[in-house]
Amino acid sequence: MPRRRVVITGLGVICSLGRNVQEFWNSLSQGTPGIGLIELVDRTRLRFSNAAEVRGYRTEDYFGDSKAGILDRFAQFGLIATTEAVQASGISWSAELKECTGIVTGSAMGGQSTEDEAFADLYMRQKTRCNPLAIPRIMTNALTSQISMAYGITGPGFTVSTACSSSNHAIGQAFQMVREGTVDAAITGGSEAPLSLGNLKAWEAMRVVSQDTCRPFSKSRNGIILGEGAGIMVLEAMELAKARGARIFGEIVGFGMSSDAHHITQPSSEGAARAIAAALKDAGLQPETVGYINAHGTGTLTNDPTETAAIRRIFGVHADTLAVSSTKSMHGHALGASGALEAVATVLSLRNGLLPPTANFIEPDPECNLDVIPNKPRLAQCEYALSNSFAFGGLNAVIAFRRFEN
Amino acid sequence: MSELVATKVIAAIAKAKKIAPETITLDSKFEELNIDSLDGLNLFFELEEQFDLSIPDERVRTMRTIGQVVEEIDRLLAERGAQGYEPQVEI
Repeated sequence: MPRRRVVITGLGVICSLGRNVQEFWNSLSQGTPGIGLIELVDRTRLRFSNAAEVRGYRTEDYFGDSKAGILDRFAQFGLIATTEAVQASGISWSAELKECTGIVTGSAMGGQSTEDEAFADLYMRQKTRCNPLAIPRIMTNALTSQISMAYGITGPGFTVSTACSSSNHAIGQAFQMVREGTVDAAITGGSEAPLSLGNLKAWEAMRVVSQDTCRPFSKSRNGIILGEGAGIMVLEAMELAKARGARIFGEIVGFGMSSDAHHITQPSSEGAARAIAAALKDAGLQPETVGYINAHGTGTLTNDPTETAAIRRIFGVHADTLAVSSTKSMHGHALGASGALEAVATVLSLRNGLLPPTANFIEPDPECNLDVIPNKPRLAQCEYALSNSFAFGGLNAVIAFRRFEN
Repeated sequence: MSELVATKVIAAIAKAKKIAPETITLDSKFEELNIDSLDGLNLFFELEEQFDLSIPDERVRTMRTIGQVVEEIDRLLAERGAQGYEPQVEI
């Protein structure tokens, strides 16, 4: 079968910037961060105070008692985003299509809060038993399984866990399955809810969390801000989507991966550059056709110059005019869900002709000498865009998107 | 600079990197001792445990030599002493 074009017919999102795509885009397009004081756990036990939480979230607003009991916060977010994406796609699931649809989600941590609570029960509260639903809540594939059951989808389903690249790897796998004809449609993206006390303390020990806020590419940047949420997309073979008159949000045209073989936490510009080059090659794109990159842009001392070097290596002089921004400056670093949030942001940027800024930017860093769209969004109609994810452990995944004219 | 603190810091590095304490001086730089970012995290974690104190991230980021580590621990111990704090560990 010849390769098929793969389009995005549904988008869904929940994170600190909003509970749906419209709210998410409103914040992104105004450059308004969703970062604030941590409320989910006792922040006085932490050396940092801020995160990008889904503020005021209440499970009972979305799920009944029976469903809530089996869903960790990360799976709840994933299902909320899936509901929005599937509704937006307008797909009606015939028995045949259910068999020919795949589900690929990404999560680095799985049911982190459930695990934290279960272990606190044992070690701290001296309970003798664990919550019997702990395992099905904790497992990282919980979201894929819940989506499968919710819609009766019986095609291939799996979850990818590659730290901060999880969602990009997941979306890439779903894209390849649709392109190659393994499936006709896919539900893909990622979710994460990593703001448990145990996990926050572990991040604190890494000494990479900012004391104030996330300032990617800014000289005074001092670390990440952890976030949470989910982003989900419905992918379909273009001809099938067109045949049913679907609204098309954008197109995925390429996917590239690489491994650094370098260090368990330190990034490598060579590895990142290889993933970018692989995505361009897969899409058949010349570097100068790319107008925007949604950067990995964590705001750590080491990521941002390393990513800058990788972009310069691949794009050469075009890097001087290429627009690059890190939306982590607004939705925080949602770890395994980051790629999914950023994929949704990139699709909307191409569709709306407006590039979200790098918020919280103070002053340039000569080592990050890119056009990072500081603080104010920019009107720009780009044809192609990339979204970068580079994980701890040196596993890199880059997706190439194209604007789609309906 | 406290000799006791210096001895403890050097001993911790010697143990972690499996090298003789005599090869480490206050002027030794992290990279000369092959202390990478993860080694550094572990070292500061160990020293915080030993001295029962908390070394701020922004201080850690600016340190390049063993002497700077000793100075920082001295500073934190003095600060704690000024607050009338009784050390939990013997230094």
